[in-house]
Amino acid sequence: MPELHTILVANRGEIACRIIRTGKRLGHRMVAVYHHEDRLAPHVAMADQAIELQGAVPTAAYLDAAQIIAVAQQTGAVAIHPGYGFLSENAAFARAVSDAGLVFIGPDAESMRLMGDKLRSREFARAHGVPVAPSFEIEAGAPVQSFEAAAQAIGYPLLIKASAGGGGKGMRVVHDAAELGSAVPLAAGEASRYFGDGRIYAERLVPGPRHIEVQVLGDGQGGVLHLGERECSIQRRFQKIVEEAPSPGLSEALRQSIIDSAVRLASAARYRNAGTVEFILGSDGVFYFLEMNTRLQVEHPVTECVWGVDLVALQIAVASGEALPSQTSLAPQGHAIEVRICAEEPERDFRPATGRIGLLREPSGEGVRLDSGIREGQSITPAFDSMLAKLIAHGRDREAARVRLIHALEQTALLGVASNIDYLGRVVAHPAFAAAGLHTGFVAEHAETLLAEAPPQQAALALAASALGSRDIRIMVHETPDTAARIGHWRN
Amino acid sequence: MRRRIRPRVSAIGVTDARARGSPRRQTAELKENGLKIVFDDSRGVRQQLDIVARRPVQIFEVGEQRIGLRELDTGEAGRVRLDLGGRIVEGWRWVAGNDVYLHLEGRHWHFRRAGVEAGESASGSASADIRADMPGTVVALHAEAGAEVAEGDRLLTIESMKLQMMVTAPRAGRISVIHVEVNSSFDRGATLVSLEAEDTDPSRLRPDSETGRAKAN
Repeated sequence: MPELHTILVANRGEIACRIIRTGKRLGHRMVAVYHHEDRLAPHVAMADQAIELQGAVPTAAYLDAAQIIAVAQQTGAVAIHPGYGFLSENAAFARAVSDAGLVFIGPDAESMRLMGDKLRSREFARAHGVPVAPSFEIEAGAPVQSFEAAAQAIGYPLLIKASAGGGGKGMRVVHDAAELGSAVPLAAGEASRYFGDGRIYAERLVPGPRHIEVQVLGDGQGGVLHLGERECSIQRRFQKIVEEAPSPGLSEALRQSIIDSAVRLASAARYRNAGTVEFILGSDGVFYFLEMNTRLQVEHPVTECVWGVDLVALQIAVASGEALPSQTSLAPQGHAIEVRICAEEPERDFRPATGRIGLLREPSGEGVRLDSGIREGQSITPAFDSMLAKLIAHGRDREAARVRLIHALEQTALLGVASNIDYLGRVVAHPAFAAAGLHTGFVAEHAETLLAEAPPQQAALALAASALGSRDIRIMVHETPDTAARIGHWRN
Repeated sequence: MRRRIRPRVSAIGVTDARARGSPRRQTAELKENGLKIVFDDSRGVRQQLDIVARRPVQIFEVGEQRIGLRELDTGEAGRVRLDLGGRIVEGWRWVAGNDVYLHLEGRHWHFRRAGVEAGESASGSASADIRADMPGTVVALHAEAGAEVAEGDRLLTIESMKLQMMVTAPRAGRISVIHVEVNSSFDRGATLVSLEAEDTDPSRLRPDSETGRAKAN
């Protein structure tokens, strides 16, 4: 029996399923927690034991640190895996878990505090020779005049960010001083509401940038293993939607320079467990440190495919005190691309969709992986994030992975709730994506072609096939008496 | 004079099939309405399907498009197989009430049977109620009951799945009731704000009413 014999997963959705899968494979007893609204969710069924969390607000239940620690103790869990989101980057939670005598599968609270505070982490990066974009802090409630000069010195456009933020939430672009004045209180308000910390800062906006990040794994003693970089430049409103590894078209020198910066930062922080160092890369080849995410990333599967590792297994190994694999024992192979399947309506400005999943057909095939958190019969409610699943394809090179992914997306049928599956298919099939013309404005640049309507013949066929799905229409078509059929608009 | 709220839809009352019952009545309805079936597509655009012929194949018309097909039995729930004059097309279909979801040739479709569900979009009509397009919670209110608003004025900020959206006035008018408060949650279709019905008194029409009422508040 492994040392961490029982592990509680303090999360839901696809990431809870993914962690439970690896845990069970390695012989750990896996405990799930869930809110009543998630009682039919797959992670509940997959776990060896599932405990319902009490609480009226669904997301609040998954954020209820005290209750989750109590459940861990009741169920005999000796470790907690936080997944991503929810409590994963909450230093107080990590501390409370250790204080309760349990193992937190992730970094220590001090690393989380350092990296979770963007203002501090940027200072730390700068001090260790990692390039940081020019920026200034905006004091809460300060009049716009007090930071106008600083803004002018850096130059517009600027990007306003929350110091406690991350994952694109609460970010705003401002183009001039007037916009700055109105955006600051909004950004500060959002920062308080989402992150409980109203501190914000503005930094130089790199035009047409690429988002490149490095997967690291630290031993907490300064030893750091890297698993290469990922390209996450296909974003919509600062949310990644397509990610891949490796980053296409980087020169070896630039790739190595970015990776070295990430390793240097993680090593200086004596970082423990899995983390991701994010960079922005300008079209001029200059890169800046963005932030470090002290957890498993949503897009970690592309790294797993290419490097042939199981990051959750490595996380558990590090948390158990095992040594990291040596850098030279690992080498990347081929290319992997991931898309995030979300419940939303691309035709209606991507507004979130809800509904009950009536039918779900998952893709299969060589090099195809679906990390899903849904099943038929489950209701998608507005209570949680709209991401339902991730589809990943791995191939010998980028084009092979891309073709596999297009085919796998076409094979995926999700009925009963609107999703972005077809939209993702159009992104991956787009000539500019095929040519690796990647930058964070990709989706906006190609908005029109990405929302192209289907040919009318195809739409008409779909409408006819849909109409035949209703029993009453089928009856009319097949069984209406001929006397009726000869009347009115019947023309046969 | 009162504007028409909705275009009249020439659709057979197919959703009333159970109530309709007798073939005699069915025949009468067919005679009156013809066999047109109306759906809204996923963009909210109304689509009309005419059934032109039934046997030996079904022929449908949608606008300029004419489709002849025969649906083949698959023996599998949800599985769809269509014979388009020799070309076989396969996919999946799920029907939930008035909503039909389809996956055909690698593409998803969603149609909603039109003219059945109450509470269609209020925009562009004289309808008094502003309804929620999706479930969510109220983040902020930007207007008060009794206030006169212009088309496009901000009414409230709502949040659904961590996304914030602004609800604006679909037309000018006076707010009669705000049905929600900050932090309250609502379901899809819930009425968020009611505007006073547009009336025929010329003195209350824009732009006079806008300035006059705004001062009165």
